[in-house]
Amino acid sequence: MTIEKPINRLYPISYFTGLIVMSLGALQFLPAVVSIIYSEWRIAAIFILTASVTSLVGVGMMFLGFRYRGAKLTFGEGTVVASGAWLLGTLLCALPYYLSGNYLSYLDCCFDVMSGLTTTGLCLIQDMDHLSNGINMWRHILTFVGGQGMVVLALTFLTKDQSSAYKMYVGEAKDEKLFPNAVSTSKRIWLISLVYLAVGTVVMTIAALLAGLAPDRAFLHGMWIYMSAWSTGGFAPMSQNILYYHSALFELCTMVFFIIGSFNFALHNAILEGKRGELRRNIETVTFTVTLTLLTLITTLGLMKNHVYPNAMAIFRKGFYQLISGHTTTGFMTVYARQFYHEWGDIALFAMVIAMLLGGSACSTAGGFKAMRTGIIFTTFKMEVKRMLLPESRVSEQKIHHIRDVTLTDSMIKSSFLIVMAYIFTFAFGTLVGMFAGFPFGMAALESASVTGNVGLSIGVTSASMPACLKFTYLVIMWLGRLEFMSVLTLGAYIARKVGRKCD
Amino acid sequence: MRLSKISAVLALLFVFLPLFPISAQAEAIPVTSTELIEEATALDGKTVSYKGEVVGDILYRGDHAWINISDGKNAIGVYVPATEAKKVEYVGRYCIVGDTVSLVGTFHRACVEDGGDLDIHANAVTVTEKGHRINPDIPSVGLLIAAGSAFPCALAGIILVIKKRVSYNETHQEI
Amino acid sequence: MKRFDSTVKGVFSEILFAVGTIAIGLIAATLICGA
Repeated sequence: MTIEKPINRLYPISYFTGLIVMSLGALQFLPAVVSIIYSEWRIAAIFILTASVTSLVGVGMMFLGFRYRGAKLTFGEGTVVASGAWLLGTLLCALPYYLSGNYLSYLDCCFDVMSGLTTTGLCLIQDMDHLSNGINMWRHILTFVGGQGMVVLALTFLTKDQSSAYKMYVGEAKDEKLFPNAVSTSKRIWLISLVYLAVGTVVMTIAALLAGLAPDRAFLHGMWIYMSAWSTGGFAPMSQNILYYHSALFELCTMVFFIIGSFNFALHNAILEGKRGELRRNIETVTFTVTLTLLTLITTLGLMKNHVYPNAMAIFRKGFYQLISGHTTTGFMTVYARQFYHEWGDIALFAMVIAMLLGGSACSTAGGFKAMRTGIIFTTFKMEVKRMLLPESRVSEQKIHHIRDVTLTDSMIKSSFLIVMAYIFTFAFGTLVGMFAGFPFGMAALESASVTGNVGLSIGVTSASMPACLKFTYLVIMWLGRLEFMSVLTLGAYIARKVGRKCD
Repeated sequence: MRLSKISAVLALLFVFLPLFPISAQAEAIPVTSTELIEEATALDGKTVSYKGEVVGDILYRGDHAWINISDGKNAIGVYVPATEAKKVEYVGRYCIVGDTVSLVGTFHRACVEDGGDLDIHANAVTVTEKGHRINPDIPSVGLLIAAGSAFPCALAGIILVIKKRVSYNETHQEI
Repeated sequence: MKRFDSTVKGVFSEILFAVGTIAIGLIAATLICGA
């Protein structure tokens, strides 16, 4: 019988966390290149410094754990690596922001990094309209990488699959096996994202050119907006977000890409391999279409009741746009945040809160409960009603369709209800802290839903002047929501155990 | 004779009286961007005067253009004739302060023509202050030294770790 | 070639689905709002 040696386990954890951190460091060289191209010398120097520092930390951690890198991580340790990397990565990726001078505090920098990585999209940045291209590049890279997942990013650098790979992959709230091993799955996720990156950048660049931007600006904005749309992030290069472009065509293109971006990667994989019928049969696409239609009706009726918009086109470009932006957990806005508060009215805002909490698909860049769980919960209700109506001797087995027909098991149902309850509790807590910070219930609730679902729509609560405790609460909630609770809670428990052991 | 004089005076009054409210309406309300957003419903359709820095890009749309004007708090989109937009020389970017412009126009909370956008439609803009470039963006000596020393260390570290992995993979079997 | 073919068709299908979803909003706005 082997007695567990706690210190040794830190070595493989260190190695894999280091690998992820090193990838994040290498990534910081990209905005450095952009800054050099645009002669933003100070910004370029900042990124070279921070890229080097982050890479060194990662490399150091890898060397520390190198001897034990073959050790198999347990699921618990895999989630510790994932959430630990997210935490450490956030602290290190905030360095360029801090040195740039665009932020009022280090907490604000960490908030924006976490907001980017979790593809939320709320920001505390100052003077966005005079931002350097380097910093803007970094903001959008963070959201693009965070959407796929930094673990997924790092796993693509592994040449061989190790059993540890899957455990970290799961720790990042992905459990779809596109391929039997996690490394190939990660590589496929990146391939899908890169294919769309090429298509999407071209389309958005053309849309930006038609909107009136100069060619080089159109390319940068096109690429950034695409990255933000695909990752259902919600960052935009200018302070007016998508309203800046004053273009229906531009808004339409963003909608197409953020809707597609909210799909499950397993769905993408199936469709791109030829199973196109999956679009109509998949439990998530069906559920999403149903919830979207219902919420669209409620929002449109609510806006009509308050005479908020003058015609159908305005209701579509303002009402529906914000709603679908919220439901896919993107967070692009074509209205000013405070307009929600002053103009929309309670019915439409209620629909928005529900939409944001329901969220997009599982194993995607979207947040919220996820359509898979909503679908499972609804199917469970159907099943239970059927069971009550049918004679006792008949046992009905319920199936759902997700790529293939899957039997709905009790454990799937239990896990769905558990995570949905966790989201609801988190949302309630976020609302409570918002109210303690002085905001009225409606505002606190909408912002909390936005944070919990990693959406990014704002009713005006999020600003650099909000209390630090609220910033910190939102930061943690964004993290919890993105990693779907388990990894963060496991990390907390792991640290508590280690500290507890040391104190004995 | 007297009746026709009275009629003439009354007729003149009817002609000139309505002009007074019009001239009162043409009095533009000076606003900040925050007021435009917070009091959008109250200011909807009113004539406002707004002032700020041109930022981002001038978006030409045929014989009109959108300019986004920021007063430090928010940026507001203003729809102007293209000829007026061409008066703007500097547009606010990184290390560039854009031209400060002032204008008088009609504010819309949810513009009917522009898909519900919150905007101002103006016929003319006045450039009140020219923009300029901020001094060349040179990194400080400390930053240069820090970046210059960290970069080779990082490069060395990355190369070392890759080499170690390659040699490890060659000499060991994956467990 | 078959792989490329199915990728292209797949991307088109997804775009079509997204456009269909967007149409929900347009239809709802037009029907409820009138003009």
